[in-house]
Amino acid sequence: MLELCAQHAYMIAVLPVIAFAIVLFTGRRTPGNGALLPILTMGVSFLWSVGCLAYMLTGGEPIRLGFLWAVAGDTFWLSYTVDAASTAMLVMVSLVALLVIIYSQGYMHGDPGYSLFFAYLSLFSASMLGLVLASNLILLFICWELVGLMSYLLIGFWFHKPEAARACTKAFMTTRIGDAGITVAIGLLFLATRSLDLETIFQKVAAGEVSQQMLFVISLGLFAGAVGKSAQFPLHVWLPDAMEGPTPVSALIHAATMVAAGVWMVYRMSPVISATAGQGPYDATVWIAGIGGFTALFSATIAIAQDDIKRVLAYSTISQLGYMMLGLGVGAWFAGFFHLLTHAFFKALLFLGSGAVIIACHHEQDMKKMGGLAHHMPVTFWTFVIGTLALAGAGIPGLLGLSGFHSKEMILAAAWMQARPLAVMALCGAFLTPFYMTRCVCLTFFGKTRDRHLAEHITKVPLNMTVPLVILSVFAVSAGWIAKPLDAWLQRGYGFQSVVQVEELAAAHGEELEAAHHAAELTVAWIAFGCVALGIGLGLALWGRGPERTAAMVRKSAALRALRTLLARKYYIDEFYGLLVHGAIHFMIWVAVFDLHVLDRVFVRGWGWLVLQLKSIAGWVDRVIVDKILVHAGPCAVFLLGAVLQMLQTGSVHFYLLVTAIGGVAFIGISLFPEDVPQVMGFTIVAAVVVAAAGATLTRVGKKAPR
Amino acid sequence: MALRFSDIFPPIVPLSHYLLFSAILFAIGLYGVLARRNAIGMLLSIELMLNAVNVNLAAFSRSGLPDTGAVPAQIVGQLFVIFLITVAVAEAAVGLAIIVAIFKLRKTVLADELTLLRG
Repeated sequence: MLELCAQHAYMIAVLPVIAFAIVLFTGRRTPGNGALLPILTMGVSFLWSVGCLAYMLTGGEPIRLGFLWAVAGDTFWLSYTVDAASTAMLVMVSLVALLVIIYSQGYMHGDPGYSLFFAYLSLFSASMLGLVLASNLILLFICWELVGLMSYLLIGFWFHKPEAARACTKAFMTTRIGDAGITVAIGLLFLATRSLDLETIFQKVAAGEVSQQMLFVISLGLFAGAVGKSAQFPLHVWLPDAMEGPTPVSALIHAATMVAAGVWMVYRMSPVISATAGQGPYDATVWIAGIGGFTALFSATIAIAQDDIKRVLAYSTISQLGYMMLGLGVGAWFAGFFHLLTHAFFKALLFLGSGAVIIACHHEQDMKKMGGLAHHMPVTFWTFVIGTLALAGAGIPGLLGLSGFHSKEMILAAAWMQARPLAVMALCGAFLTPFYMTRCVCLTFFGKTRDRHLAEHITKVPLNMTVPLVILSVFAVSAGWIAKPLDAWLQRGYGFQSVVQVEELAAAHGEELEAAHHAAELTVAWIAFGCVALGIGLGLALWGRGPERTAAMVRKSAALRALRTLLARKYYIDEFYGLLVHGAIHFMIWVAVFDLHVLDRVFVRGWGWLVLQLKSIAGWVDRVIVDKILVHAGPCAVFLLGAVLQMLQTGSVHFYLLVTAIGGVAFIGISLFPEDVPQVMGFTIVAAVVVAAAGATLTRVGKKAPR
Repeated sequence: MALRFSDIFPPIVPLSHYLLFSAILFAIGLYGVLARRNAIGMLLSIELMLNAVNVNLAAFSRSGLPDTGAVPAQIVGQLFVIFLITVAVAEAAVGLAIIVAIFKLRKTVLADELTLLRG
């Protein structure tokens, strides 16, 4: 039963696609106004994923199966894999997607595009589930692009708002820059290994058949794709703007689907990328760790100065993704992956919580107007606080911690061992995370509601929005406790057993860590504990009693004011990119002008003058020899022939088609009766004569008929 | 390793049914091309004929050739169908563009009024 479940794991992704198709075409006529079917299918997908997980947990062998897709020189498969990592991921994605879809019933209530929204959510989750299942670069790339497309459609779901339309275009175009990298990387992988199947690729890489330079370029290309999708530093600009989409979409993008895809892909391709580790100038992991660590700190600073509740969360996502990349980059593959899992739960929780706040405040997202919501919505408040603590990584080392504590601690410890400067950056980020999240909680929930109008109109949040919050908060608290068993289990059940490198690397780390690990881990853990405590304390001190006093303090000091502007404008990176694009456009205009005035004048007109001179010579030949002598002989013959053929030229399309059809009949006749060719030809000629007569009649009718 | 599509959905409908269906579809398309006056209707009928061919190709690739265990027999016909669909799309695009252009010029899309090529 469980094995059958795992063998047909493709159904996990196919079911929501079916729901998408049905809801897309039947829309409001399906039960629950189009919401019920996506919920049911996602529920079945979730149970199916749990079945696969149970299959792996009961000691099943990893499964890799596929459908044949095309034969063109090589054979190409759409193959999927069920192994420890993918099942863990499947359960997380389908659970978060299920909760988000249930929650959307409340959030999107009364929206004109209600049923369409659920269809989109279904396909969005399906493409991410497919991406997780893929064990083949074709399927991976198809799903990768589908995820991008669906996030485009969902971010721009309220496309009548110009900001939303701009945001979705920006998201699509920005990720496209990264996708150029992954496209090149896939092409190079195929060139180097003649295969797109992950296991074959990993085998060949492990056997050393691919040169280090090539591996370096491939790894950077793959990472470029992840930088776009997972919103790392140079390409992070789309994620905050994506907040224009409905909040459930933000929750899905930030937790389970879009941004997780990049991290997941890097994790999946770890045998290729880790092959470059320690290769001097061809070491791609240094880049991954560097960009990850920088992003973690960089976007955490921006989050301090944002006033939109969703934008704070968006920058915190970028920062957490930076941690994941840092973990992957320093060789702590499991830590990065585990942080992806735990982050999914508490970030979905935070986003759905912020969505509840936004609904309660009638689509107001500005935290400066909120405040005092703790009394109005206690469930949302407490779950939001749990999410905040989990995100901050709150916990006492060696004793107890929320989910974010465990995963972040592992990343920090690994970074501490491998790259001390990056670890310091990450620790600064670990101080900033609780700092800005405390600010967010204080401004939203503490004190009194600052906007008078808002205070009178706070509405209750429906039950189908609060229940997912409670479920997610359970996971946000407890997901970290399975870290140790999951780590051991993943190392055993990674689907591609041929790859020794991962395990060797892990073993090497294990020995190395054995001696120094505990000391380092404890040191880092206590430093991080101090950072978190300091962050929360400072945050409470500054904003615990409302933002007025702090705002006044910032107003008084010129330096603080400048810093605030710099952070609020996100280091002017959007403006910089704008200038870059403008510059490019101006350059193109200049090229066009050059083309018009210089190239056209010299080459086109000069050439024209030359041809004119030649023409006058040719013209003389034409007039004297051709026109006088040759012209008069031809027409006589042509005229006679034309008079006969004119009868066939009826000008009626139907006549021509009829002739074609009769020709087809003659062709079939000849091929059926090859012995009786004369009879067939005779029949055809008779038919042709009849048709010619008919055509002549038609011509006359055509002449008489009025226009 | 390989889970074939036909393992999950074995071919139940015999080949001749597909062929009969495609022949009927083709004949309907041919009739439509010859009998419709509206150029758009004719274009639609041509699509019908093309799709009749597609059905034939797919049906033959599914069950027409013996499955020797080798890969190509099963898939070549379906690949052709994909190419044909692409061609059909291009054809429809060009055809519709021509019809639009003709309509702008002549204010009609009735094929028997468009006798500009008459000799």
